[in-house]
Amino acid sequence: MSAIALEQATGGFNFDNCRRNELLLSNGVLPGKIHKTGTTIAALTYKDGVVIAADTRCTAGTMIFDDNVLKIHRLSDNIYALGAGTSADCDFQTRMLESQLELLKLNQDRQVRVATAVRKIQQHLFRYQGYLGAYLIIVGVDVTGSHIATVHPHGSIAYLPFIASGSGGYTSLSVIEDRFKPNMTEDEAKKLVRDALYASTTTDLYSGSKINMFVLTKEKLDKFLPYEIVAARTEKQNDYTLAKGTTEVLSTTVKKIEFDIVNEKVKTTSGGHEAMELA
Amino acid sequence: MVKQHGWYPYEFQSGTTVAIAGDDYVVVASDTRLTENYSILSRTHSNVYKMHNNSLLLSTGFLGDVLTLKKTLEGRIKSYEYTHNKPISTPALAQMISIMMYGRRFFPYYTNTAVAGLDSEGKGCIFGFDPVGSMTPERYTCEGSAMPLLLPILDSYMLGKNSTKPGPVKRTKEEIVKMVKDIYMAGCERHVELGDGVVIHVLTKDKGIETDVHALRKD
Repeated sequence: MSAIALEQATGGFNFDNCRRNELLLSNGVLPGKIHKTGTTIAALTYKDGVVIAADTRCTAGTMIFDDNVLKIHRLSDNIYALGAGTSADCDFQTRMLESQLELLKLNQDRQVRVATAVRKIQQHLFRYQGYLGAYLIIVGVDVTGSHIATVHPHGSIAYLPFIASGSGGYTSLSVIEDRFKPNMTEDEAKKLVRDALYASTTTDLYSGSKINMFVLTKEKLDKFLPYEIVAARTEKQNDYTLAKGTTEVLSTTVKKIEFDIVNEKVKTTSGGHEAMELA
Repeated sequence: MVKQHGWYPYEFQSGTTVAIAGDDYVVVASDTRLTENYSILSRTHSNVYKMHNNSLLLSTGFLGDVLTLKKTLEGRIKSYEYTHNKPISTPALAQMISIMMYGRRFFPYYTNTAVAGLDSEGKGCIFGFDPVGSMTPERYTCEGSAMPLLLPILDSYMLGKNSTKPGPVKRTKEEIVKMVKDIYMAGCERHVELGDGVVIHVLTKDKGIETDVHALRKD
């Protein structure tokens, strides 16, 4: 008989599945492939706040898995994260962080700071020795100003005035580095980020489709979903509707469905005459 | 300890080709994107090469080998013409390619190749090859990176493979050209190495090769 009260967990790691996994591997059962997305994400500070942008392409190998993915994750009202790398890690780690920051805000009864979000995720990622493949750019505005931080899977961070990341990151970064100057206007900043993303979406094979953009200041958050559609599907020239009977009918049965009448209503409808006059 | 050295002489540079033969025409298409790893090397590179005798060579894979194959082949075609005093037919050219490829059995040309042309009666004919020279005559072919996406559509459109009565479907060359544009458009929606443009050649006995370029998405 099983015990009524479960034994208290002793903590630490559980290696129960290691032997089983080894056995499965030796029997030729391979683990599923992890989804890594080619991406371009970029962020830059300007006079009043930060502008962030991301493409929307999600790939599995050379196959385009999804053409409209949101790579901008909310951490709190004043902090957002851009994610590149393993998409599940980006999704789940930002979600975990979002709830931690919400609880912190409620506990302290004040808005959380960017530094808090960055330090929390940094310490979490460090514990996992880089096995969480989340390349994050965390941006936000708080009482100390506007900030951009890049966080790598091993837990290293850097606070920067601008950064781009992902497979198209170098392409974007070169555009931003060429034209960035401190205290740009909002329009200048948006234009620069757009140009940076356009460069990488058109040159990097693993970035594409659309450019999403957020503009975050102390006063407002402007969402552009999308800011620009880089490439879209064009019209088909032929009609490929299959002829009736393309799928063979192998058998047909007609069954009576038993039902009870629960209630019955008779209604007069106006304007029904025109439809009746057909033929 | 002995250090192992790895040397891989090949590079896969994408490209997707389609060839469809009809009773009095052959339609040949290629996308125009040339890639290497994450980057685009060219947006205007066609994988179809016009050979001396009005045959079309379709070749994707490693561009170095594609160009070498083509160059060597051009030389051999000339030599054939001087020897036999007549232009080489498409089936003979196919045989020649097959022999050349098998000659490199243990250091192959890393290419997906096909040759398309008209036979002596003006009927479209296509031959497909694997990298070491296995040759098959075909009514239609699709080779290269997006082959898994495009070939099933061709199976359905050309042979009605999904219907109750499968069998060759008669198609006009205008229909084929439109369909080719459509499948390339559909292919680049789902494949990162496919894009920029598709070049379509229509080969007929009367008009020779007519070429049309159609733009595709650039991202």
